[in-house]
Amino acid sequence: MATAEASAPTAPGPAPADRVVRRRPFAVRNARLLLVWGLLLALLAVYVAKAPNFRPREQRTIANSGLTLAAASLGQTLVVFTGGIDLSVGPMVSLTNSVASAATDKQDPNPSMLKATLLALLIGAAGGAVNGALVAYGRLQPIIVTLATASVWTGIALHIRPKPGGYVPPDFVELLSGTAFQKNGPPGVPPLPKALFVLAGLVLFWLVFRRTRLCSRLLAVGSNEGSAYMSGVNVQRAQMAAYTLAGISAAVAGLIASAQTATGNAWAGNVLTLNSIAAVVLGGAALAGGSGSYLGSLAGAYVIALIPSVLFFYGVSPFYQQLFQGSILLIAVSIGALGVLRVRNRLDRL
Amino acid sequence: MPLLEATGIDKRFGGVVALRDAAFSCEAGEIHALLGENGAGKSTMVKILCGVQPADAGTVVYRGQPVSHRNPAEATAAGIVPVFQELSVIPDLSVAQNLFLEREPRTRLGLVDGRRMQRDAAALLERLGFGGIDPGATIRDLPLAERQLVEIAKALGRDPVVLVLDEATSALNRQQVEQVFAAVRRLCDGGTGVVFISHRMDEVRALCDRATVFRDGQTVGTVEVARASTDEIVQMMIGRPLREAFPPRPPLPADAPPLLEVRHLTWGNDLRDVSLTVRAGEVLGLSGLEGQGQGDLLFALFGVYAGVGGEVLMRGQPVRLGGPRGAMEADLALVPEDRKTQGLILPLPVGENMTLATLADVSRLGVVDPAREAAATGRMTGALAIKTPSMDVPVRSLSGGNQQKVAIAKWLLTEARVILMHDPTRGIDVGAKQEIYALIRELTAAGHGIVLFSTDLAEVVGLCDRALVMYEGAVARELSGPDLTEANLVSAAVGVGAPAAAS
Repeated sequence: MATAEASAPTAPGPAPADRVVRRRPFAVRNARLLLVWGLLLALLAVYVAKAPNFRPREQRTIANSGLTLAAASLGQTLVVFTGGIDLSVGPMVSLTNSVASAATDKQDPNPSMLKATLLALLIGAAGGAVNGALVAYGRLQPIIVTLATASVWTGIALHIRPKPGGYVPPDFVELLSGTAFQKNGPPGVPPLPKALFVLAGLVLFWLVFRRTRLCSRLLAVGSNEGSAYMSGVNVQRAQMAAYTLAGISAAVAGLIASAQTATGNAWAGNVLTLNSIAAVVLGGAALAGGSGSYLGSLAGAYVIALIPSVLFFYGVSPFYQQLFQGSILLIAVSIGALGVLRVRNRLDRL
Repeated sequence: MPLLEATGIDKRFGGVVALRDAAFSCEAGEIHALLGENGAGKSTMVKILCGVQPADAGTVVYRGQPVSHRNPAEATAAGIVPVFQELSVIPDLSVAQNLFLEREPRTRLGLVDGRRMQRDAAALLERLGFGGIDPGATIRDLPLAERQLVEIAKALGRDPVVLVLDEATSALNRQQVEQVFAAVRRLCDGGTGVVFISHRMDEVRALCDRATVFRDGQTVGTVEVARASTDEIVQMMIGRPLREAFPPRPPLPADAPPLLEVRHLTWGNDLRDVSLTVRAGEVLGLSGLEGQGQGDLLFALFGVYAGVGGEVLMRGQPVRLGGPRGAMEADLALVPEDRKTQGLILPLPVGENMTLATLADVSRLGVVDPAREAAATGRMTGALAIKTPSMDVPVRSLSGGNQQKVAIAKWLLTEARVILMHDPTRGIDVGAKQEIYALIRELTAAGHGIVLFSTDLAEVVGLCDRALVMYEGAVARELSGPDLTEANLVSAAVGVGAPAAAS
C-alpha cells in the first residue's frame, strides 16, 4: 500500500506550473461498478432465458434470494471503507434472527413484531459498538476482534435457540418477503416483490449516507489513517460508527431472514460473513480501504445469490455449486484486477 | 507582543534530547524561518506548536494566551495550520473533498453540498494560481507536485492565523514555488504569521524576514535574514566554519574499464533511446529538469519496470531486467529516492534494515547468525559514522541523515560494483551531506562506479566526473571537464545552448 503510494503512476514530462490535471473519465473511474452491474445483468438474462417461467412468484424468489446478503453487505461495505473487516456479520444475523423469533408470543391474539424489531436493532447496534470499541480504542486488529465476537454471538444465539423454531407473525413475513400490488394495485402497476422496496430503502440510505461527512471520514481513515488524523478527523469515532452501522445492518438482515424463513435459527446467517466480504470485493471496494460504493456491493450480493439458481436451471448438480460459485468469483475479481497487468512499474503491481 | 511565542521548550524521546530550553517567536505578518541540521529540533518544535506531540516543559503563548493543543484538530481550529513534508492529503478522495475535509459546505439538510464544494474548491485553486488542477480529480491520479499544491491549498483555505510550512515545497518546480510564495506573501499582508522550514537557502532568502537557528535541540540565535550572509547562517547551523564542500576528485585513469554499459534503453515514452557507460571509479551524474526520465532510468536499470527495451551490460555480461533480484545478481544496487517507503522499513531495527539485502551472507543454513550480522552492521556503522543508540532501535527513530546512511549501508553490504543513487542527500543536513559526498569518493577510489541523480546542481558539478542532462526521456547533452558548470547544466536542461550530443 505505502509502496504503491510513493511510486504512484505520475505522468512524467515537464511540469510547468500551468499544467492542467483533469479527473479521469467517468467510465474509467467507475469501471469496477460497471463491471459488476454488467455481470449481474448478464446472469439475470441467462436466468430468465432458461427459467421455465418468470412470473411474479419467480420474481419474488429472485428478489428475496439476495436480500439478506444485500442488507448484510451494506455494513460490511462501510467497515471495508475504513480498511477493516467484520467477520461477525453472519453470526450477528443469526443472533438477531434468533432473538426476533423468540420475542413474539404465538398465543398473542394481536401479534406485533415492533418489540422484536427494536430489540434486534438494539442488539445489532450494541454488538457493533463492542466491535468498534475494541478496534478503535483497544487498538486490536479488526480480523481478530470480529473473529472472537463472531463466536460470542453464535454462542448467545445457540443459548436462545438451541434448535430451529420460534414464531414469526405472518404479517411480518408478508411485509418483508411478499408481493405488492398482487390483487388491488393501482392500474397499470404490475405486481412487485416487496423485497424491491426493502432494496430501495437500502439504496436510499446509501445515496444519503454517501453525502454525509461521516462517509468522507470513513474513506479518509481507510485511505490513510495518519493523513486523516492530521486533517482533524476523529479516527476512533469514525471506526466506532462503521462497526456500529455494520451491526445494525446485520440486524436488518436478521429481521429479513426471520421474515423469509418464518422461524429462528442460530446458524441462519453464518454463511453471510464470507459472502458479504465477497460481495463487497466483487462490488469494487478495495479491502485495503478508502474506496468503493454500496451500489457495487449490492450488485455483488445478487451475483452471488443468483449463481445457484442459474446453475440449477442449467442442470448442474448441487455438488458442483461451490466449485462454480468460487470460480465465477475468482474470474470476476481477476477481471477487475486486469488493469494491474498494464502497470509497467513493478512496484505498483505489489 | 509576538503572535506566537515558544519559550523554554524541552522535549525528549526516550534517552534522546530533541529540544532543550528552545525558544523562538513569530510576529503577525512575519515570515520566520527555522533553520538547522536535521535532528536539530526544528521539526519537533513545529510538531509541538501544531499539537502533534506535547512538550515536556516550557510554554507556548499564542495571541497572548498560553496554549497546549492536544491534537492537530485543536491547533487547526485555533488557527495554527501546518503543511508537512509528509503529505496529509487523502489519496482516495477528490481534490475538493481533501480541501474541505471536516469543514464541508452543507445543505440545509446537513448533507455535504457537493456542487458548492466543487465550486468553492475551483475558486480557491484559481485564487491561489493553481487553476490547472481539476477539483474533481482523485489525489491518487495527481503527480507529486500537484498533490503538494493541494496540500498547501488545503492549509491556505483554512484562513490560518499562523501558517506552518515544514519542507512544504520540496516537490515543486521553481514556477510553482513562486506561485506558492506569492500566495504566502499575500496572506502575510493580511496579518498571518508564517513559520517556514526549508533546506533550500535560496528559498529562505527569497521569502523570510527573520530566521531562528537550532543546533542539537537548542536555540543558537535569531537573525534578520537580509543582514546575515549565508556563510554566517551556515556557521551557526553547524557550529564551525563551512569546509570545502566537495571532496577532491582525482582524474579518471584513461584505462579504467567500463562497468555498466547501457544501449538504446527505451521504456514507453518515458525513456527514449538512452545510452551510457559508467567506468570503474567514475561518478556519472544525471541532471535536467525534474521528471525528465532520470528517476525512470534508475528504476529501469534496477529492473523495477516491465517492458523495457534495449540492452544493459555489466562488465560485458547482459543483465536480465526482470526485477531487483536480477539486478542485484548483476552487482547493481539502487539507493531509492524515497527512503521512508522504498529505502527502509521504518519500524524494523537499524541492524535488520542494514542486512535485509544480504541475509544470505549473514546466515548459516538459512538461520541468521547474530555474530555475522553484528560484524556486518558494526563495520558499516563505523565506516559511515552512523549515529544510533544501538542496532536494535527502530530505524524511524534516527534523524533523516542517519536513516539515509542506513539505506546506503544496506547496499554497500551487497558489495555491488555499480551503485545507482536517487537524490541521496535530499532533505538531510549539511554535515551528513558532506559525509555522503566523502563516501561516494571513497567508493570510486575502491573501483566502484556510481550513477548519481541529483536535483542539486552544485552536487552534480562538485561530485560528478561527467553528467548527462536529460530532457523528455532522452539524453539531451553530456557535460564533462570544464564544461560541467551549473550554467551549462541549466541551459542544457531547458534545451538551449549547444546542440544535443549523444553519449
